[in-house]
Amino acid sequence: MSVVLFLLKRLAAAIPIVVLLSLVTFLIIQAPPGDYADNLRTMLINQGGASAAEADAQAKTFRERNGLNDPVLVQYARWAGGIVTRGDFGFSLAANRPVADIVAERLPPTLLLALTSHLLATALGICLGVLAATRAGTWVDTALNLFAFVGMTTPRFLLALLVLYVLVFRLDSSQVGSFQSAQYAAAPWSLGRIVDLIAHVWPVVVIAAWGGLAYSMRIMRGNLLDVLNAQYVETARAKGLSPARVIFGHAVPNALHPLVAYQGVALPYMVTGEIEVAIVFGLATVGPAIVGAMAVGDVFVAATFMLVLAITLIMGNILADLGLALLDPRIRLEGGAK
Amino acid sequence: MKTDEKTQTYGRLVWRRFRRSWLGMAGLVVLMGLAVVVVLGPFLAPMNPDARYAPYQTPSRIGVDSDGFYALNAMPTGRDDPVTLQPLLSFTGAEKVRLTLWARTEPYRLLGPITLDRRLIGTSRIGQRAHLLGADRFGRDIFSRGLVATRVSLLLALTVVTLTTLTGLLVGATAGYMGGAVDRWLQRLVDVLLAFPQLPLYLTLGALIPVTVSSGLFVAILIATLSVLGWAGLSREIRGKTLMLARMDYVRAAIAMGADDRRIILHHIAPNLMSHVLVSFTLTLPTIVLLESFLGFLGLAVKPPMISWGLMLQDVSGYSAIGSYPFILSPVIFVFVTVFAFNAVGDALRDAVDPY
Repeated sequence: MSVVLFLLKRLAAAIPIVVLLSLVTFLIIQAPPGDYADNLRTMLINQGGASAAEADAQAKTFRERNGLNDPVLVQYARWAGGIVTRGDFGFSLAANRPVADIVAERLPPTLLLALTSHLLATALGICLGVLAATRAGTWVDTALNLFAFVGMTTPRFLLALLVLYVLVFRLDSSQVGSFQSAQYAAAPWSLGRIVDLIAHVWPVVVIAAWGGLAYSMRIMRGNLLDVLNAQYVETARAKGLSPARVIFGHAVPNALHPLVAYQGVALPYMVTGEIEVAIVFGLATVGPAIVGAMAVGDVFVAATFMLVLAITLIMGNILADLGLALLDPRIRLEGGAK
Repeated sequence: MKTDEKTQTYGRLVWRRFRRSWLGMAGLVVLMGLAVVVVLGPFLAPMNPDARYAPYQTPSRIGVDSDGFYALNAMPTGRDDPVTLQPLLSFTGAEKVRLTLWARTEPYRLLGPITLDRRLIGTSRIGQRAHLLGADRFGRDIFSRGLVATRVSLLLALTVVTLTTLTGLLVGATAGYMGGAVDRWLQRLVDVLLAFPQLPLYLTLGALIPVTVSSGLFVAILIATLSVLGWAGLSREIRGKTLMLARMDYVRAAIAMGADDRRIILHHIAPNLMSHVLVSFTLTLPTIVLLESFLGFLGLAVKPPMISWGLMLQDVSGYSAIGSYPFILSPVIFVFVTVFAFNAVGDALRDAVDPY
């Protein structure tokens, strides 16, 4: 079966899941009492100095204009219909601009940060895993195992809190919580701007990568140990190949497969990590956006972010399966081969 | 044949392997300590966790002299820090607050109907204060609160994990054993649950709980939410194992000999799933403890008069206070210790459950 057919089949299977998911999320988001118009009313009274009657009238017009009086299912149908027919994700009530704009602003940094952390974690994890497996039983292995245990179990959100405290209050860093310094905010991309960007986001990347690194390392170590015991490795050694050739030419490529399968699980893990850390650091990515949208009842923003995240995770899973199938000819794309 | 050699039971074999992991043993000791804290928390706490003193007191300095242990509480010196304009504190001239074992205190409730008027360690006179980890925004002793909070945080996690484990086991075993249409529909359900971005969903669901509900109801909703969303992963693993086990020769033999479904599930399949379930139980518990503290940090903690670690971390989310009073971060220590202990035990257990 061709790759295209495999992809189509998997995508078709994902559609009902996405539809159900978006419906459930939408219902959940709409379930709490009160909507954005209530929020608007409070704001008008507290900050705009409007009387209760004026504020009520304003809230009423706002509800009518944005269709907030309709039954939830009608609102969902309108929102979902807009996405399918016009690619329109609705209108943010709080930010007063299309949701698509907000997603376009928030999602790329989130995915970029999560991917950077992930690539870094995987690359370093593989190296450390090879190091640990080839020195199995020595103090290097023991130390790396302890490191992996600590890395896997350190709660990222608590780590983020502590790092935030140290950076801001002990080291007086002013680079936390934003992507760029003021002077680079509107500047064209240059080496200086990239360095500035790294100086701002490295804590997020390091914390998000921390746990993933430990996971990759463990998996790599386990696999490589298995592979190193295989007969063909023995044969390669017996033929007199150098240890480096045996390990990097024969063993490592075959030990990588489970790591590819693990990518599907790793993506949600990394995205969750990025969200946790970004919420603590107040970095303008998806995490704080969802928290903020939920706090004021900005329905379409929250629902869209949830939908987009779910789709990202499903796509990640499909790509991981595809990658595995392409890498390992023994796994057939039809699936179900027992 | 010698008969005095007892056969090693499965449990003994697991224990022998488990004992070899020093990390696992250390974790086990900590877990036993935590169990004691869960039961005796208010008795072990040196102060009343709800009593209010001056807000944001720095940790007391503990010292020892010829009369035994004492605590010094920092006093303002009357001068201000030139940069932060915070009052400067000093321990010189501070009154020594005596600490005694079996200290008398106002009566408090230990557990259910049991009331006590003694604490394991406390100040020698009622009304004096000694803050091991400082005092929070309302002047309540952070260390005492952390100890008392163990009960709610751990019991909440324990309930959630028990529910998710039972559901996961039941659904997974049913799907794996029955197969066919039942399996297909259950797997679709699991697919949907697994595809939910979990963390944002918890945030969403948290907003769903009205602010005004009582603390008991809030905890019930929290437990229900976490349980409903948590069982899918385990059920998938259990289904896979059941599928594999159902094809084993000994199960086929049992079927051929006319064993009914009940017998096969209870006697042939369930025992082989137990080790996996046990490991998953131990490793899921810390994630729920952690989730509770994260949700607490986001403002979705249990409500007073209950105390949980998440509730204590709620104070941290203001950020501004961390700079002046870093000690309010100390509830983090309780969560760290718990998470590490459970993971250490779970890790060692995972290596040990397959002793053959």
